[in-house]
Amino acid sequence: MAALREPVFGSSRELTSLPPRDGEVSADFATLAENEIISTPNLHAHERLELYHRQYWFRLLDSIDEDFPALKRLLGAEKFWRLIEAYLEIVPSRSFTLRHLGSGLADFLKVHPGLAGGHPVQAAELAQLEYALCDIFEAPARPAVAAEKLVEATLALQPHLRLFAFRTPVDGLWRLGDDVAVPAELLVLPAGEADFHVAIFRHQARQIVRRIRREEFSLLQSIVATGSLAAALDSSDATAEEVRAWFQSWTELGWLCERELPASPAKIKILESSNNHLPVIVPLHHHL
Amino acid sequence: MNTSRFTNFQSLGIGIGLRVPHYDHILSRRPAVDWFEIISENYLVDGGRPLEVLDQIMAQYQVVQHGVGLYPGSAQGLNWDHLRKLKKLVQRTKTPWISDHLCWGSVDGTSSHDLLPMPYTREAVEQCAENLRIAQDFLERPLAVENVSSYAEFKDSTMTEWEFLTEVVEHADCGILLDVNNIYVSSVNHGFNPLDYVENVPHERVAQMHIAGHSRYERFIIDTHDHPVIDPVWKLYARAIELCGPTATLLEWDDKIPPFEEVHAEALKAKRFWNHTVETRHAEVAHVV
Repeated sequence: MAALREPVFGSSRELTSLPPRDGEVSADFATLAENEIISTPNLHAHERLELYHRQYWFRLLDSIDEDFPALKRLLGAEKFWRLIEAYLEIVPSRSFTLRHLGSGLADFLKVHPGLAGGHPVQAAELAQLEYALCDIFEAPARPAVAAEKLVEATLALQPHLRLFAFRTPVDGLWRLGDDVAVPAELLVLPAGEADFHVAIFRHQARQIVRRIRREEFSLLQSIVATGSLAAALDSSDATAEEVRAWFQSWTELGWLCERELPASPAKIKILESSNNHLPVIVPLHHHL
Repeated sequence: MNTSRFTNFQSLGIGIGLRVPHYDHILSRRPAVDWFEIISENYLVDGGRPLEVLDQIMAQYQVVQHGVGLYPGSAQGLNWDHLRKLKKLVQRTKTPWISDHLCWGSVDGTSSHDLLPMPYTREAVEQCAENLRIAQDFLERPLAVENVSSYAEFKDSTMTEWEFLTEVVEHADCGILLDVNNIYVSSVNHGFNPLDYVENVPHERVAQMHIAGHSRYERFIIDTHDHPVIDPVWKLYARAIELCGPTATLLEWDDKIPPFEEVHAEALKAKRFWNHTVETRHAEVAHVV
């Protein structure tokens, strides 16, 4: 396994999108091939091991390329591939599926901001947004809570709904087309707390990214934290008219459901989104 | 048709691998397909689009689970978390049997996402057989193990691949998913006669077959599943059907996937070898009578 995870060089590397890099595989790689693998008239043992080595990288690079198109657009292909190579060298796949390959990329970017070009906060937040889109693809949908049960039920949000408080308008970056220059205002790093609130969810077999207002975000967070509509409304500054409009939208989208039994505060995990100080609260099982 | 305890006494015809680009066609047109093979790992999820589609497919078709993550060749034993997920899916799909590959691919929880070849040794036979026995008992379904295509052979090997496969399935008492294309690919890469392979596996244990296309390079073949089946593979398949009898067969097409009708038509070519074998057997019986 260690041999497969070594960086690719030479002709194998030229077959990938990775930028040029001088070097060669380790002496251990050559020794392993020589000691363990039979050479044939067509292929030397080293070449046979190299076939597996390059396939390992091709498979991982193809998969992650599909999952982070907007991050690649932000960084540019060369910086993106340099980042991905560094990420995969340090954070190998520990899942049975390649769909989870990018799960650690946002955290990796926070630890290695130098690999994010000139926009480390945007890059990390964009990675967070794009991985959430992958993640909700396979998240369950639970029956929406019936209107008559809203008051007495212990409420939760749909497992396929993710809430984020971002420092930057990354949803705008994500929406840009391939051939569109990035507007300067999307790359400015606003001062202060995270103030771009985004809901990412699934509706009618599609993944949707929607900007929401801070007050709506806070109310949804309160519902997650308390499970109680009354308690959430007590702590909200929103007007009755605003709340009515949000409820109408949440009902149409089926965002509210009953909390899974056994309800336990231990099932709630508080995550910090990028560098902001506003906690994002999501059920823990989203991230298993 | 080939039915036995290795197929849970069910007989299936010619199937196709269920792939995302064909979802809409299958759900809207409901084509006449004998059965679909699903990659188990694509559906080991809590919900979402994968399970929604799977449930709709299962309402109309028989599905059979085929895995890529059991890794029975692992010296570290099986991943129980993975097995529990597989069992949950088995209970959902009611798959008549379940298959995976005779390989390893994960160490200390780090996955290669590949089907890596084994050294063909007595120690490996025992390790694989033990893992397969445990998996088959836990999953409560007949388990068929598939021969992988390979690009490397180990110096430690003390037997041929088909001897190794035979030893493993007999020690584990499980079935075989005979991938005819993989035999062909490996025969070219390693320089053996593919007929020796087909003729020397225990035919009564073959529960299912795979056919597929591959990519030929100057000095080796890569098993890419992105082309139609080539004639030498069809000839090998014909011999396998002669020896095993008409057996549930699946065409794999995983890359550069053409429209559904094209994939289905390619798969149905397998039928002509079934018909030929059945006619020959009838003629033999008539001659004896």
